[in-house]
Amino acid sequence: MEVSVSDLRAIRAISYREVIRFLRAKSRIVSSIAVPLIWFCAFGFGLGSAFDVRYGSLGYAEFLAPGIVAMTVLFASTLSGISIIVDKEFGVIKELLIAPVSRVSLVIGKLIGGMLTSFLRAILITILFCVIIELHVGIWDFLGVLLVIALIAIGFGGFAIAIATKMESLEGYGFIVELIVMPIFFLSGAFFPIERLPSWLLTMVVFNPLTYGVDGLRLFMVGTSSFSLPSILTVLFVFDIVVVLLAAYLFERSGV
Amino acid sequence: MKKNIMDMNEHVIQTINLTKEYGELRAVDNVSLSIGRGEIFGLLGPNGAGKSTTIMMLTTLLKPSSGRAEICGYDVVKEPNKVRKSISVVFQDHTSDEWLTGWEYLRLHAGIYNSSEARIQELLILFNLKEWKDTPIKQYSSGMRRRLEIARGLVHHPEVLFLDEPTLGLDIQTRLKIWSYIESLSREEDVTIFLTTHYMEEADKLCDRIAIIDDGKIVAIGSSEELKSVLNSNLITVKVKNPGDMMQILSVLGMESEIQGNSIQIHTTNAGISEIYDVVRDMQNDVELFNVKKPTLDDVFIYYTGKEIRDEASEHRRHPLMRRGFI
Repeated sequence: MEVSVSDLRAIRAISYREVIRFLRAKSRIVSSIAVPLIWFCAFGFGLGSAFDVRYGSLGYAEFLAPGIVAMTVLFASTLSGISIIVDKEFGVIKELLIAPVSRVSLVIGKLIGGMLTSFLRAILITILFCVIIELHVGIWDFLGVLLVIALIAIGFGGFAIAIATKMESLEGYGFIVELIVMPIFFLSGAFFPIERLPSWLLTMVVFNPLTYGVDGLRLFMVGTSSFSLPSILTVLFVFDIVVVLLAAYLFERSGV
Repeated sequence: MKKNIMDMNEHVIQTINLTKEYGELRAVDNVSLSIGRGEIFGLLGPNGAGKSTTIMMLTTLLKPSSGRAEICGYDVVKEPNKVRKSISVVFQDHTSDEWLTGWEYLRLHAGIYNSSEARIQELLILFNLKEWKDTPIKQYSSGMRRRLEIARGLVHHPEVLFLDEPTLGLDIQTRLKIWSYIESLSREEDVTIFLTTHYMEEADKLCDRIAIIDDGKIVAIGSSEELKSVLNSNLITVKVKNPGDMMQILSVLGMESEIQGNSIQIHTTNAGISEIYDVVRDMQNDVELFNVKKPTLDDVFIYYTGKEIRDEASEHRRHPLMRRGFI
């Protein structure tokens, strides 16, 4: 597999298109902020104050905040899959398939576009958290947050594209994604610390890549984590590479 | 205006026994074509005849079951990327992203192919879309969208432009307009055009050469004139004061004629036309009407396929597989 200059151009053009489309759909921007905020308020304040949950020196809202950022990115990533199916549905993808660029670069273009839109969402959310719960995130930590967001966005975006190559309709895709994404989200340590989980549950959590994403965000946002930074980054990098290769392979083979 | 001079020695598109099978069904059956540089070539046939499948194979989107095809000397299976560099395709259904503006859409493709913004400007002017360039494609009419998509197909100066049913579903004025754009770009852009259609007039008016395809097979190929002359049958209608005299002369010449209303009708070969014309000229003062009806492309089509081509556009639109260009 070789990547040429024309592939890089295609990646740039395609990711740019994804960003334009995101910015043009005003309702998407609103919902991408509103939904995580609703979750955050309901659980962070509702649950947190009702049961007076604490994690070390952290209040429950602070503990939950990185989990909600991870959720935002995870949900946003599934849109990469929707974007592929919509492109198939409307034939847009054929215009890209007749271009003299590799199939991998089309997948990467979509992923980078998804990553950039995740950045926009996550920056807005993080700023809101800084205001609401007086979270102080320094500039270096914020760059760390962006790095972890990028790794989550690419990995789960690739995952979504891999599923989308197998799907013909949006309905079918929506069903499958809900079936897979919800457990990934709930079993990621976004809601609860993983240290005291029963071993059968812990096994599932440890094999869930999002767990490391949530942990990385927690490290950079509130300064505490269950795993060390090198192991977090290693797991996420390996996950991303495997998933992107898989997505590219399936995309190539599906011949869309 | 059709060009008569083209370099027929240089074959830009060449297929040898190109075949595509879907299980038992032979969608494309041993198609062999040679298309020269600068030609406007039309593949004419009813829906389901194998036109789109042929285009899909020639444009590397579908692998042939057997046979071969070369575009600009590159094999579509072995060198797909080189083929992709030389061609462009405008698909049957609108494939432009309606969320983008015209400019952004062309920019996207110029970005992929490394074309300049000057080229985009040039195409916007050629296709009369300059004042709409910042309008979202959603708000374009069908005809404008089609023009934009053809412009998109030209951003990288392709050598061959494939147009799959370029005027399907457009009203007649818009269709005429698209034809004039296609003619002008064939003159100005030095591009070979391969189009599929099931509109007779489209093939007749636009194409230098036409291949009639039915059930996946090419049943006839040639210029519109050549195809028509093969039928060698013309219908002549003459109205004279004394039809009896005229018919007598004709029977002496060995021609059968019949009375239809108050005029005479004669079926004759191409050579027969001038003979009858001579007769009519001698009767000059008695002649009220002399009309020669040459065969139309419709007649040619019926002659070769035994059926009339129907406009199945509305039915066609509904089939999901067809909509995606798989059939």
